[in-house]
Amino acid sequence: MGDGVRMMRRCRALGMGMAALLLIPAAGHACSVCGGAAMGTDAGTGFNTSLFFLIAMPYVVVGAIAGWLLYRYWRASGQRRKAPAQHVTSLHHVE
Amino acid sequence: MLIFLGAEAMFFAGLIGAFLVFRFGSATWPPPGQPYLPVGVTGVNTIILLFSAYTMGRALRAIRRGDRQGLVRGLLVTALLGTIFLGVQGYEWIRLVHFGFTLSSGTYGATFYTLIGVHGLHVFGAVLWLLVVLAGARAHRFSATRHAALTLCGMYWYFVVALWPLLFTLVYLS
Repeated sequence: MGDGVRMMRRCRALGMGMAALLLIPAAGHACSVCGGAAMGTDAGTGFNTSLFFLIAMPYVVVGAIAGWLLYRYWRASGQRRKAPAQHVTSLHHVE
Repeated sequence: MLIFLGAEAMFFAGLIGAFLVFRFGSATWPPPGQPYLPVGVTGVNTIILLFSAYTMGRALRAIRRGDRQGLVRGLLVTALLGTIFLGVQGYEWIRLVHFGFTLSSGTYGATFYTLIGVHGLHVFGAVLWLLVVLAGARAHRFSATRHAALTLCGMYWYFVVALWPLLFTLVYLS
């Protein structure tokens, strides 16, 4: 039996074991996100508020960085467009 | 710098996340027997810190025009406003400690001193950075075309200033 086949069997056994865990309600309730154990309590509200905030944060950070880079790009391209116009004005001024 | 600021933002997100667990996981906030935080004084302090972002912006605009005097003036006022912010925060902390509100006063004290203290340390670091670039500005090290160190310092200053209204709203007003 090849190593690949043995690895596939192990992965399948592990996957089935993990799926079997979902059938045990106590294991599902142990997680505050599942909403089983802590839902409706103050602790649950605290955990959920915190989780929503932390889920949103990577998007906020990446969005802020992308916004900053876009702002710099637009400002730089605006200055490049303005620069030749100023040059023409200064030539007219010399004349 | 952007990656560093992103990492800093996630660091504060972790601390704020921990605060939210305790704040919204508690039926009464502040917990019984704990003092109310000085909202009025800290509100004025918030305005001082926000104004420092404006003076920092003026300093950066001055060096883009090649105005070194304006740069030095802007950096000096920004560093002064940052120092005033830290001084007022320190004074309020001393008053709270005298009241018996310390780091070990339950989750309320622990989250307050950790969150606000870490931000204060960041402002302190930013003020030191400002003083370093101020010395550089006085020594004519920056020009209209060469001022990358100033831009980075400005970005960091904007970060610590922008963070404060969020912390103030969460810790003092919520």
